[in-house]
Amino acid sequence: MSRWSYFAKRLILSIPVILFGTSLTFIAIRMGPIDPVAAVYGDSGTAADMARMRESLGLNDPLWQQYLEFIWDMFRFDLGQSWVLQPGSRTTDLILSRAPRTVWMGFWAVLIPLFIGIPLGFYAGLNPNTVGDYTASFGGIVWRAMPNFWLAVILMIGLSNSESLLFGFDWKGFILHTPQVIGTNEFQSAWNGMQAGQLEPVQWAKATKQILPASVVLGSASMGNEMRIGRTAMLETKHSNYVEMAKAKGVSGRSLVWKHMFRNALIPLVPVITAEANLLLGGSVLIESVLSINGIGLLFFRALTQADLPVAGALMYVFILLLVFINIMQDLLYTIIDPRVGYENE
Amino acid sequence: MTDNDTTRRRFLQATGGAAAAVALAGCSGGGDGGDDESQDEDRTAEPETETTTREQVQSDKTYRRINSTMTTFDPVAVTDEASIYLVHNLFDALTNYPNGDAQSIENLLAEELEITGGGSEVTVTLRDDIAFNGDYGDVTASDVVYSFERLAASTNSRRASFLLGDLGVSHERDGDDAYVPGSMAIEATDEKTVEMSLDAPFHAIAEILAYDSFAIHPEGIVGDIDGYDGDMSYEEFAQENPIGAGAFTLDHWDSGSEAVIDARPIGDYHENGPYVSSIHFQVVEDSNARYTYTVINENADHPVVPNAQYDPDKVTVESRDSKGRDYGTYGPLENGRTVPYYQVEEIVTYYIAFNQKNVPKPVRQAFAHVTNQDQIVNDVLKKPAKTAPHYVPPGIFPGGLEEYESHAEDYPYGIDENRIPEAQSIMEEAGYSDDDMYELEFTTYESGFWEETAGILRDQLASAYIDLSVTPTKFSTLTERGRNGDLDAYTLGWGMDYPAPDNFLKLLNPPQTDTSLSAPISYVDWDPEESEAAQNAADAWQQFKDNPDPEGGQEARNEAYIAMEEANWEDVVFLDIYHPITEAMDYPWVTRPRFGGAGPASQKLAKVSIDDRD
Repeated sequence: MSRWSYFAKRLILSIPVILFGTSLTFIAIRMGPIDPVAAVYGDSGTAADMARMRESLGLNDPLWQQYLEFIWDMFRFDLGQSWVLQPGSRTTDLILSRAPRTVWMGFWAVLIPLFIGIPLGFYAGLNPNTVGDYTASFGGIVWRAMPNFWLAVILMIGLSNSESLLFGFDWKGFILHTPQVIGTNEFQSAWNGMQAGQLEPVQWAKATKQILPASVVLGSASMGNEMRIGRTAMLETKHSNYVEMAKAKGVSGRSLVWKHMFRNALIPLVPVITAEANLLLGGSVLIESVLSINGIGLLFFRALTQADLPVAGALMYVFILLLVFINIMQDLLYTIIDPRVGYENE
Repeated sequence: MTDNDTTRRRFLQATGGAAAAVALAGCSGGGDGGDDESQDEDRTAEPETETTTREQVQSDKTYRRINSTMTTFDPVAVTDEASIYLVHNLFDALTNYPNGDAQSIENLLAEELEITGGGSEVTVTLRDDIAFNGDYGDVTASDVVYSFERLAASTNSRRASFLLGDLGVSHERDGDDAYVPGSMAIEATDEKTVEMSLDAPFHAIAEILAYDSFAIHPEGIVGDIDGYDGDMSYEEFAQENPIGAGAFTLDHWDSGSEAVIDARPIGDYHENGPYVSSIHFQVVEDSNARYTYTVINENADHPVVPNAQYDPDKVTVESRDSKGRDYGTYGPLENGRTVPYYQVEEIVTYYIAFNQKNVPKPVRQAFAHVTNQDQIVNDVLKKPAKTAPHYVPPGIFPGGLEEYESHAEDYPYGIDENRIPEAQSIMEEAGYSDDDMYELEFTTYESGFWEETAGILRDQLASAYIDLSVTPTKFSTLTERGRNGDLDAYTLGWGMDYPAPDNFLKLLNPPQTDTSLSAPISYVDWDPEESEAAQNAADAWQQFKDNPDPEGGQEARNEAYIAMEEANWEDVVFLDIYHPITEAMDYPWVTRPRFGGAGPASQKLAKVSIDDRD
């Protein structure tokens, strides 16, 4: 089977997966105990108003009809209007207005661990069973074990009180003046500026500074993971035959590490990093709530708990599409990265 | 403002802030503070003096507040408290509760409300000096007609029943029992006069017209009702460009991040103020984040002190003002400041309700005997609150606080005390014992307060042969199950829409509690055929209905209200727990009249001014 026919097969097979995921979302929301009308009114609605809203949302139609309409709309990418969270707003607008914050946070949350976790892991792997290795490994495990929500609160309070807690270090005035430790207002103005066609480097730097605590927390688990796996990968590579061979040939230490070992040790890390990029979407709810970054994670959570079917359905649909697409791409990439992997039936 | 009563905050959180669970939405405030103390002139404005002495100057200051996630700025669609904070300042209605004080009602856009026909004919005369924001010109009678028609007919409207049901404007209904567009008996007879006729006399016309759903917006601004194409799309009106006659205009709203409203120039607005140039609302929901934002970093002009940081010993009450609000100081806060502080009793009741079909009467009565409201408030809530023998809060109780207290002496189950022996004997009489306990499912919405309360009750009820199993659930799940009649005992709260006891007691009108209805108003299945008390309550409700004359019928209505409270005692339909007290704080550089029982969202912020921050 050629690479392309495999690819086509995967694409066709993804259709039932998408259909299944979308149907499941519909079933969970419409057949579960949550009710958008109750979410809008709380306890203060009257029978007449609630019945009216039910009617206007089409909730009185037969369920199969609602289901078919839902699936058909999704298929056409007609994602509808929000019911509860922002009544009357187009779902796409709502998602597009919230997504940049989460992506901004996620971007740094992937990047920071990459540049801290992997070098530390490699360092530990190159110097196994030394004090440095133990320190890095122990630190990695502790860092990995700290729960996100707790770390977020500690960072938030610590940085806000940095002058008294951190020996006079003033986080708010550090390099740039950012009076708001939490939230995303700096990013918002940088983003708005960019959309108006202005690139303001200082504003972007402020936006980065403001998002850093959130990103560090969100990336903390990945950082620990990457460190641990990086260490193992480096250790394994170090003891492999070709390294022995290279050493015997008299390859210098520096070029041995950077030219021969580094790239090979990266291979097991690639899927770890892509998988973590996925996790960031779902895992950001707690951080977003604690550090008041109203992004996609919180939007999704709210939409689900308040039965805002169009928003939850649309987000779920987009997530499913992304996930399926990323998986297919990953499969494809394997054959490119590692030519030994093929699709021939053995 | 503090994170006042945890429960309400959590309650709103449980529904993500999008539900006006206890929507303190009712009213508006726009007049000036009607009360004053000589010892605190700077915090409470007096109408007579303010117009003459307060300098009408707008500073360049931004008033910085925090808020929960907002949903929409369309007045007919708004149901949540967070959005009401803005809607209330972007739009004005015909009438208004000055500073959210539910006891007083004033005209705002209306010059005069003339009520004739024993309370069934209303003639509204509009003021001459009122204009919308932007280029939308003066507020005219046809704008009022259009705004009310939207409330009745728009698919976006969420409160049509206030107009067609509570107020009861005459209208036609089609075969599906839906409102026939354009059929309401509301007419603009000239440019400044609107005439309305009601199906039956209604006793709280001015009060209900103050509700934000009745806010006036320009005729034809959106095309969601027949006969209008709309000057702008609905989305633009509701999200980006809400046009009203309020003191502020929307500058921008980044959904989920912040909203900024700009003040109209002073003199352009038809009341005094606004004294600040804009108001910034930062969306912060998590209580730790609120504390960090408002106290540690002082990014807002009012501190929010969540329960974890709250210390009752830091409250110093100096005195009580003429509206019964205790005031003094709170502090020092973690940032070293001691701030002005006052307490406001909200017109809200939290209660435990029992489905009458599912739970036998002895169990309900034993439950009431065991419940010690005072213990719950002190041990669980740990904040000031008023324990509740009645469902109707003291602020709107017939005869006021005094009558509330004296009638409470007849409360049959011992307010603020544990009566386990009484509970035991009732249960023993009904045949229960240690070996044969009654199993009761107690459903709470997700809230630390109710879960902890349920824990205390479970332990105490065990000695009265009641085996309580506690089921915390999502708020919307709870109401859904309630509507289906699946609940035994459950927890809820209710806040006023308009300040009259019937707005509370309608939940105890037995015919409307039948869960076989499509949307019962409460979920207790209180059946007049099964219970004498239910029959009494139904009769009392009828008596209330039969006496709508605003003044002449007052006594008969009051009698009916009391009769309903007593019927509720007899059958233990709602076991009332407490009325929350909001603790309000502002930083010292903020001058803001104290708000009343309708809550802070019902106060017009045009009256706020900001001095130099230090």
